Amino acid sequence: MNSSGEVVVSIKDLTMSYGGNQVLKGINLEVFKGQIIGYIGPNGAGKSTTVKIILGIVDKFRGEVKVFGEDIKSGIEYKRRIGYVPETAEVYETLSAQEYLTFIGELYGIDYATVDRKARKLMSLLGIEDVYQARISSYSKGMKQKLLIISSLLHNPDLLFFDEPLSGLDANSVMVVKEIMMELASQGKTIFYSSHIMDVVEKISNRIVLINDGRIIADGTFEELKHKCREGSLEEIFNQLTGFDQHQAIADEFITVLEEG
Amino acid sequence: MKDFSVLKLLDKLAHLFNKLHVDYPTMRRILQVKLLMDERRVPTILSNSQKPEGKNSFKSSLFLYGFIGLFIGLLMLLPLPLFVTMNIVFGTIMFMVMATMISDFSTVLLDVKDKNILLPRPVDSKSVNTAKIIHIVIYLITITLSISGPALLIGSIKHGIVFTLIFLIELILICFLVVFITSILYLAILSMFDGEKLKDIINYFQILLSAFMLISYQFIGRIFDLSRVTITYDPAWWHFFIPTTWFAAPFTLFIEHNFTGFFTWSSLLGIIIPGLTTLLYVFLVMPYFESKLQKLNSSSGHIRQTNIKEKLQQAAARLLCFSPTESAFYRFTQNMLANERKLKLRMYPHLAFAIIMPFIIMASSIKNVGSFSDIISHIASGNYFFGLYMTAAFLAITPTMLSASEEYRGAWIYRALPIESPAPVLKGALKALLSRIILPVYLFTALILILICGVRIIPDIILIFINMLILIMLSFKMNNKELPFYRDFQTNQNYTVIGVMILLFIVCGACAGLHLFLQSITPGVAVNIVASLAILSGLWYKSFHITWKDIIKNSL
Repeated sequence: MNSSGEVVVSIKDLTMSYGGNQVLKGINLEVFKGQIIGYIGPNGAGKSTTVKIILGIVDKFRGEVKVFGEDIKSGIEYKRRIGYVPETAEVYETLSAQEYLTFIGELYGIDYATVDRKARKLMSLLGIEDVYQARISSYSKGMKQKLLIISSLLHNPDLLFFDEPLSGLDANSVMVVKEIMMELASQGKTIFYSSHIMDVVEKISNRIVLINDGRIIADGTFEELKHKCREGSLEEIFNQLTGFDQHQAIADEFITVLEEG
Repeated sequence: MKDFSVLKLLDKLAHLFNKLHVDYPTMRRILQVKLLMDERRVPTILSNSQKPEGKNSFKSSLFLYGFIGLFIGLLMLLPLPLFVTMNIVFGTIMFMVMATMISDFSTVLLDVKDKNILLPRPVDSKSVNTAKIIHIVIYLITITLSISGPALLIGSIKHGIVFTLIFLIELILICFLVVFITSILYLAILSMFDGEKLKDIINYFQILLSAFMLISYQFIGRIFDLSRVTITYDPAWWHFFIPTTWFAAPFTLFIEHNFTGFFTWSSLLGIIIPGLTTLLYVFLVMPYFESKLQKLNSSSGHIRQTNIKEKLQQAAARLLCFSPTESAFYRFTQNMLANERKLKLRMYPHLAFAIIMPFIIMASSIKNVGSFSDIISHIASGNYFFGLYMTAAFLAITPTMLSASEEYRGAWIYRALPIESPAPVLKGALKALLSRIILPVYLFTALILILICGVRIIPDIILIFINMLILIMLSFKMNNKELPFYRDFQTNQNYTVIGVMILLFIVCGACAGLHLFLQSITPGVAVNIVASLAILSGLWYKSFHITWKDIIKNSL
């Protein structure tokens, strides 16, 4: 890890419980400027919760979270420099892209004309300019995803949270978005990248954080993890570290059930 | 983006908001978006983006409320004691405002999407919450005014400026009370059940409201018949517990100058209780409410009672259906009818209407008011049960409602699955509709009529049932042979439905006429039953010669 850079996010002893169920059991993490963090883990491990806490969607956590050196409980100013693509496409679908994007832009303090021009240009670059004035409810999955990506980047943020940003995109768009992420990171922006598609995480991130059952169980570059686990791919490392080794047996049984009369 | 006049009005208060440390421009922007979305609450999910953006559905609903308001306003003209009139008026207004709050505005009150979209942006929660409160207030004022406007106008003309003042103050107090009651209701449901159950309950309120609107139209013309009734009012101690008395009492106090203890105390209660509930709301309910809201998106995945109900359903499917495809679609339709809220919202008010129609006809044909037992014996001996033909006609339209669904996108299964002929699909769906909706509603209405008119009408009830089945087959045949649950509610097909309706009413009238004629001859009804059965079986046999070609031709 290059611990020389500026600390962008620092998390200390973060715990969180919903009802009686403890979702996060003490997360400690420091993220540096210019990193692309592959933030991975099985379903329900606590990935989204961590991100939602940093974004200020979920409060009532214990521990300390600092973004750009500021405690997130002390104000909202830090949010001006954050961009977020949520996992589920949460947008006001009755609005058109123009109405939605200008609205979001203005919340960041960009004036209407600027954000309108910028949004239209970004839409046309991703090939969806023709639906700029159509209601979002009429969009396909891929179009919605592009809209979410644009809405997260409009204000040129320094810290990005991308939760499955590539879902529903076609191969060409995937390449564009990946390239955008690489460029942004090389400019010194920090990206939190959550995904279940291990191949992409393996290729794109320069640091991988694996979370399981509310704890970080691995943290390092892909090479470091590979060396530690003696496995060839991130997928295999993931399986090994989360203690899952029955995929063969389950698949076999699945086929057997299919063949039953 | 569109600028709203309400917002321009609000701009005048910008100073006030800044003093309260609310980020006014942000709040204004959020409100603007919210109001814009209100206008589009009925989303036009059409792939064709070139279509005009649709008319303002919020404004047209206000028009409808205004119409109901007119009905309430007419109540003001009744020659009743002022106190009684005001009780009725405020009772109706409270019911309407509350029902609309629950049915239409629940999307705003219970929005959790909001949090996920707005909170990651640099927006403080104070501005978000203020925007939410103001949004609710704007909505509440618009609805309340359009519902109570006519009553206010008529009352002011009749009683003068004092009335106007009291009425406006009472309206504000009523709004406070309604917000409190609504949120308490939500809170109670949310703490006991999960989000899905709450959505169900909201759905029932929507159904109740629609049914109320539909049926109240029938009574507008009859209000003035009531004017012959004379009512005097005597206070009793338990009247203190009826909220409408609190709001009606000040009118007696200041317009009729009746300062009796009862009216004074009632008026005071009308100020104290909404005040208390508002304090309770701000300091106790609201903070607690927000934390409970998170539950909304969760479903506790409760286990359904599968055993008896499911077994009965399966037995019925086996008994009524002859092919596996048919019985599969029978069960599918039953499940959809039980679960789809939007479909219920369409269908159930219609059913309520079907049930009540015969009794409305019965009531309106009684002219000379005698004693209660006189009226009953008069009805029992007459042919008033023929109103059941109205029920039959309304029920016969229900098959046309089956083709629309909220989840219409799931309809690809019809094309993708290896279903040889659409006939079993349609047959299964129709049978499910019959057994789940039509039969119970018909039997319920018929049972009440039998209780009133006696067992002598049972043969007639049977005949009307068979005639109804004929009507159903006709409406099924004419309904473009549409597959169940395959298109969006928005797709307009009113044109065909109105055509079907007109034809059904003509045929229904003919059936009723024949029935009435044959009734006077001794074996007449029996002959009619046999004849109708023959027609029915012919129709049933002929109606299901459907191929995929017919379906595709019609759906294009």
